[in-house]
Amino acid sequence: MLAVVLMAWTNEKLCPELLPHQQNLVDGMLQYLKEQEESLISGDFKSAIVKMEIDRVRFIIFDLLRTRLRKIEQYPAYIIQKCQSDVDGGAVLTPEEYAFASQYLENLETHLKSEILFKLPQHIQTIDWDKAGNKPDLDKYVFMRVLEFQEGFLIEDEAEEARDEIIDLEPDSQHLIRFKNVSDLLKSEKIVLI
Amino acid sequence: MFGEKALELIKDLKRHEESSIPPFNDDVVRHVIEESNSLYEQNQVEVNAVRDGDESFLPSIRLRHAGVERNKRCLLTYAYTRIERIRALRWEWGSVLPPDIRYSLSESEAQWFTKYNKCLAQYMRSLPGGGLDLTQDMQPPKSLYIHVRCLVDHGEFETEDGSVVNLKKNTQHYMLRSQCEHLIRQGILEHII
Repeated sequence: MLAVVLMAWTNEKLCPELLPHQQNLVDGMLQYLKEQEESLISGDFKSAIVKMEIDRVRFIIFDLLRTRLRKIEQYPAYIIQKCQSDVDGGAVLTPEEYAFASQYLENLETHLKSEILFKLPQHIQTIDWDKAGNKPDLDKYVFMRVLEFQEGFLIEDEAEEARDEIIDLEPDSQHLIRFKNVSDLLKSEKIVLI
Repeated sequence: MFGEKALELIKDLKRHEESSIPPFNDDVVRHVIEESNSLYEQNQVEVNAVRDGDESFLPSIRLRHAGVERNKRCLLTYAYTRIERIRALRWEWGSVLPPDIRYSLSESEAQWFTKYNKCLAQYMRSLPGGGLDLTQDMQPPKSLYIHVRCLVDHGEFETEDGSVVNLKKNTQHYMLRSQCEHLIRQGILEHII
């Protein structure tokens, strides 16, 4: 289970976008940590090591949650919009995260409006989040390692010069590639970011 | 020239490093808003003239509109960047800000901060295990116990296993990391490497 948590943590840290949530994993791990902590005998040498390990795992989980919160705070409008238009049911936000996101957005807009917008001329009193460009950078290049064999992976050419490449992704091979091309693979767990 | 005052706001932010906030520049902000409003009013007069058929005012209308848009963009950037910095301060200092930082915030920003605190606390409370404090454990633990030196007199401090430690100035202690972390962040203890 620790390996899964580590993978989720590295993926979330390295990915420019907010990944689907793994609340079950987090819940399960926290429960396990609590049980471990309660079964410790204080002062014993072995329990000191166990306590260290508990602290380390707790750090990883907290950092995962913190990274997710940070991403939500950076692009709240984009994330909420994506969540509302997501039909396939792949939940990106937990209900609590969704509540946090919408409240954060509301607070932000209230502040900007009361501070500035209501004092400006009437016809420009709106915030256009699309134009503000508050979106994750999907063109960022990321390192990835392939877990499952993918045959015939199509990389579209952005400059439309008909230079589309079709490559085979061997397992355990490593690549440096634009994030946009592999975001689906990441979500279906066929690759991992490094 | 239009938009110069707005640039001053941005320069003000850039001059201060990322972890500090300059006092809210109320004067310049008000100036920029007034400038935008007056540009808009001047534009209104000319738009009416254009509607009556006189096309020669179009370039000046466009110029003023561009000026208004630029002012709006600079103002929004100023407000948004300050909010980002205040957010970072919450994670560094906790939910109570030191008075000199609080002095630099405008009223609306102070209100935003209170609301953000509430929002964050609500999320943390809803986490499994009866609520978790995510501001703990900000760095990966290197060892279980750490040496710390006390910087100010803090009186007696009870550790997890019941033993009481007397935190007098310049005394050194060897304590569990989880106990010290929040005191280190407050500045009462100092981690000795």
